[in-house]
Amino acid sequence: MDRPSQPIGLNEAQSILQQLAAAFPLVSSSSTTPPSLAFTTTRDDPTLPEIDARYQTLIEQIPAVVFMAFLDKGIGEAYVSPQIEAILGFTQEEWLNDPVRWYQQIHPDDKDRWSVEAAELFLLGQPLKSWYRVIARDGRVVWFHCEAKMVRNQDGRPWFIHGVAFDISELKSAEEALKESEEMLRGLFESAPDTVLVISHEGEIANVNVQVERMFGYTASELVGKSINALIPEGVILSQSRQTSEPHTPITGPGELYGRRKDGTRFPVDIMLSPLNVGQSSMVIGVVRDITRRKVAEEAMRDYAARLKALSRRLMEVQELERRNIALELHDEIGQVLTGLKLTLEVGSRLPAADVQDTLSTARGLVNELMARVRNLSLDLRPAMLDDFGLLPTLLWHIEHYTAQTQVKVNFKHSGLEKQRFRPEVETAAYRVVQEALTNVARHAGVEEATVRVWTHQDTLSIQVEDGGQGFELESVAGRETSGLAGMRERTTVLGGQLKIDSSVGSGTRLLAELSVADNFANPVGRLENH
Amino acid sequence: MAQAITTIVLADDHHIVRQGLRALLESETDLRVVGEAGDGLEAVQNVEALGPRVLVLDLMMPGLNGLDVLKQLKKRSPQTHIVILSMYANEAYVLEALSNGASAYVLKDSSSADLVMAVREAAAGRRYLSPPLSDRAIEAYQEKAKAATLDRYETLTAREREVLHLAAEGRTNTEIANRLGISSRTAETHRSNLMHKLDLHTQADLIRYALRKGIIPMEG
Repeated sequence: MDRPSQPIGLNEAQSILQQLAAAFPLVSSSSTTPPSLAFTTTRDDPTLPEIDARYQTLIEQIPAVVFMAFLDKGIGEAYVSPQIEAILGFTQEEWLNDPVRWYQQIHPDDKDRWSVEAAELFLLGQPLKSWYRVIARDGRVVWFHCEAKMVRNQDGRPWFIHGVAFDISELKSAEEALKESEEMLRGLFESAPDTVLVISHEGEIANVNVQVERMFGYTASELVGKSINALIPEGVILSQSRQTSEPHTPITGPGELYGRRKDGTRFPVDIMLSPLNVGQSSMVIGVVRDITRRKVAEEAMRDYAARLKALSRRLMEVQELERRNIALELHDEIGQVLTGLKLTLEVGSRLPAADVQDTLSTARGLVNELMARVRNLSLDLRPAMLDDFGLLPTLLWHIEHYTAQTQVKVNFKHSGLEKQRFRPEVETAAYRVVQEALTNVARHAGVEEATVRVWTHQDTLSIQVEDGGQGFELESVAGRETSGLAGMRERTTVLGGQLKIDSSVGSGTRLLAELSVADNFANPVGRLENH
Repeated sequence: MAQAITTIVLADDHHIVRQGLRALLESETDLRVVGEAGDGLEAVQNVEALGPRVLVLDLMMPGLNGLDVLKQLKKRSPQTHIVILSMYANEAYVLEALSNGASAYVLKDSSSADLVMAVREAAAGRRYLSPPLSDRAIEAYQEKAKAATLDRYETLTAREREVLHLAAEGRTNTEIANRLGISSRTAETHRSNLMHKLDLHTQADLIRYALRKGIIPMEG
């Protein structure tokens, strides 16, 4: 009796259905007798199923479409519950009058599937449980969940089918919305600039976004199911994840936290944990950020701050030293001469008029000495010449003065300075660099000669001070660059320039300072990077 | 013979200095101080109003400084000869004063006889510099201050000179690097640094420069 239950091909299904449809005689539209509802009438045949009018009311209350069709009788005996009209816009009569309307209204993409499944129901007697999209009268697409069964006669022939169709459009659109929202969340998850991990309290990685590949060198699929210790070796996540109850709890390590790449290299990271409850299971979201760049910047800032601190300390030292020197000069030198002058004049006032000449001559000598001392003191502090005549005359004066004081001969060469004025801060910086560099030569180089070259090229004023003296190892001064070097470096960098020192023991020192003489010098970022 | 009287205006921002100068100058019978000024602006006004033969002018004054006064008066009152009184023996100042039309330059710590001499010489239309200033010192200074004594080649480091020589022979950065035992990136840096210093832009510039300097021999 049972047919072999083998799947039915699409072509076969369609031909079967066409034959089936032909078996139902079409009711002509001119028919005056509307088709009666099969279940409302008791039939002559006592074996026919009967549906009492009582149940019809019940059926028509169900928020679904109930349908029934005889396979051994004409179309007039079919039934479809009236809810069909509210859902699809076709009346009960329209459905029953046209036995192929079902097929016509099925969404084109679902037709083939329906053909196969319906044929399986009719021929093999397999219950149908499926979903289809059906086009309503106004063109809307309605999703139906259908369940149908075939009932056979006592002799085994197919008798009728009956079933229920539920409108599941709302469910379907909710599903769509859910899918969209899932896609959006997935997009967020994948596009986050940090590595985002979902891990269990045992440290097993349940999910990880694609950033992990860029950051750690593993693909996401390599890591799912693995322990978090593969990425963050210290095991800190594991111990702290159990206590994580607040979102965005930063992980605190015993020292710096490091991530370990697939190739074994390490890099500094920041990790934040948030609790995540999915249904019954409680997980942890870990956000891992690569902070290499931040660390480098912090290092540079710390270095810069340290240099600034050293410089300001040096500045205060220099200021004190300068004050002490001036005080000393005023007291010991100028003060002494003034005292001598006063005594000379007092003695002179008590002498007879004829002898005053000698006293006055002594006094004049003392006054001249005073004038010279005051003038030198003033020039040493800041040569007014720099403001009055600019860099070249001041350098010429300074070098002459320097040689007279130190016996170090200076070979001074320049170009582009004659009758040339620069911004006051440039002239000051250039003068101080030469002054400081020559002071260093006299103090440390142990030479009798030095060369100073100053030249301009485009927007740059270059100063080179060279000696063939003892030199020094740059490393040995790098750590304590407090002498004049730090001051020179600061003077040049604030003007958007740079200072290079080339020296080694036994082969002299060559200092090159480049200052920007353009009105707009380097930006602050450029200045930072110069260090 | 009646002596011609030389009229003088004094300009100095210190009252006590003016007093001393007046006493000093008026002790000479042929000199008479006809006015004083405490700043640059007043000096210009007084000289224009009084038309003295000589102005004794302090170089450093508030407001309008001595050099500015000098420039203005050379246009407005050319018949007045100007004697500069200065703390600074530096040639730059002397040169600047003289080239702006000063007749004499006297140091504040020179003797009173020196100032009197300077005023008399200026009044007579001659130039005067108080010792130790001299025309020779001024000339020497002008010589030193002349530009173009710097040869850009001298600003190159020893390494840059080596690279320049090799580059002028047409060697590539890699060849230069191998020869000097440095990385080719370093060779490239040296090359671009030296070209920047010498203001050369192309390989052809570099070769022309090397020929001119005799770094590589002329062909033929």
